[in-house]
Amino acid sequence: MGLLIFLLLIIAVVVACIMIRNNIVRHHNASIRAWSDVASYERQKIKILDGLQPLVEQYSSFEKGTLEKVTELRQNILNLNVNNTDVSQLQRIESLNKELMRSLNVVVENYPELKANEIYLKMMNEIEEQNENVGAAITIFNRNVELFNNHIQIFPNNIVNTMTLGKKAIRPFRDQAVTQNFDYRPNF
Amino acid sequence: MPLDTVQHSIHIRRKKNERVFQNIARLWEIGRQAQTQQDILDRLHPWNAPIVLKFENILPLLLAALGLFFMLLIFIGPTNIWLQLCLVSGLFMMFWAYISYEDKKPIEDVIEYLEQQTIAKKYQLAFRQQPQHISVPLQPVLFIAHLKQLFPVFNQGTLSNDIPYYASTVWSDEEGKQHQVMVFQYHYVNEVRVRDKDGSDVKVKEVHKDLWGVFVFDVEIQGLAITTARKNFYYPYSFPWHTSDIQTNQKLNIFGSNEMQTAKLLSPAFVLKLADFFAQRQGDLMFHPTSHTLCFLGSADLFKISSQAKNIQDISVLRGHLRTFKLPYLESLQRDLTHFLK
Repeated sequence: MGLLIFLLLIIAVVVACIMIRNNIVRHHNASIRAWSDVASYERQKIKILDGLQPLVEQYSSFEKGTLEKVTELRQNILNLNVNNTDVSQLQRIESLNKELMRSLNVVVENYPELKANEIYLKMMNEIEEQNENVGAAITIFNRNVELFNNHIQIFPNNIVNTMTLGKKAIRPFRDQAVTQNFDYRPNF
Repeated sequence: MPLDTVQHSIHIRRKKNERVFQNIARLWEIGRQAQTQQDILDRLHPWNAPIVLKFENILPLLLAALGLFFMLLIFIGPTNIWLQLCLVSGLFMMFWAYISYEDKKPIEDVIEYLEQQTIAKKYQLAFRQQPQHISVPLQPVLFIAHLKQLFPVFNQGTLSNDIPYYASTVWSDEEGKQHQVMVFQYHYVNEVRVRDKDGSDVKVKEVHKDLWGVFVFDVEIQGLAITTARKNFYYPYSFPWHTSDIQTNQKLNIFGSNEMQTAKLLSPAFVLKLADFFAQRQGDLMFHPTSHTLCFLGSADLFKISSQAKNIQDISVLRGHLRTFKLPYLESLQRDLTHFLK
């Protein structure tokens, strides 16, 4: 009888370990998928930037900085690693993206005919839509990363993870440009 | 009831209660004539008359108690002539109390009517009317049957599946875009077979349940069903779909009518909108594959008012009740759904 209880306990522990391991794998895969979403929505912006470049070129002979920003953002998006999380590159892209949007707003103020250009307006709407999706994809990525990190760090999951998978905690995305403006610094 | 008919025909209306009846008649008139909620409130203040809205029933109750006492005295000495006279007077007092007692029902009826009128005017609900955008008058039964056929959630009852109560309205979002909406109550009846203690005799029991929801017309999104329940949707929502968000997948089950379209539709921004919509809500949200119609069905009573009409004894309290009460679940659904459809 004692042996039977002992065997049942062993089986229960093994089943629990398998479930924990599978959940870690699921959460890891979901985080990878969320990162792929971030990267692919960033990549989709390239198509719009390609169309935007010649249009801005016509008007911004004096605004060379804007054109350079379009090219730089395009290049940085192309360099973003789709397969592995590259949070620092993403931070750079987001920062460049904000700069470009600011520059475009300045260009529009200087060239009212550009403001009335239907193609330009359509492109700006598309960029805004893509930016909204990138923002949402980053939120989802961070939510998944939090769940995944919790999953591999809490007890007894940390033991199962160390023994079977050895997954490392993923660094969530933080907007450094925004956080730098705060006086408050959290102590973690 | 014949007894009620007798009471009604020989009823004595006391002068004090006459004022309450005048107030009730005036309230019915206000409810019929008012065009807006503010109109109702303005006509309730100033009232320029006694504001009492409670029947004075102390005398009938005292008479009834005294009559009962006189009648019970007969048990002391059934043959005593004086006690027999007491019995007769006791019976007379009881009868007098009965014909002069005023029931609260007329007050409750008029308050309920004013509540209905206020709801209709405040939320622009046109009860039992088809949405405004349908210009051709339709048979209500056929129209409801058509809507029920569009979505596979109106077959939950084995005995009956009805939409007994509905109202049409128009919702506007922050940008002024209008949505034609129909709010409804779905009532279904299931047959449950119950066995006796012996396990032999079978009793059939009817279980009545209600759900509430909305149809929104002219919606762009098509071919999607989302539920918070652990259930599957079948044709036309044949393809289950998982989003990239772990939390959304844990809470919601998503089904599409076309895999390619579902993949396109469920962008990260859309997934977060869905998560926000279902953050404080349970139910099914469905977008028909072809008819540009949305249906939400949940367990929260959309017609439930926030405060019950209890202890309303004068016009001033009634006005306060009509001014402050609202439909919290309908307001919250309207806010979240218009935000979701933006």
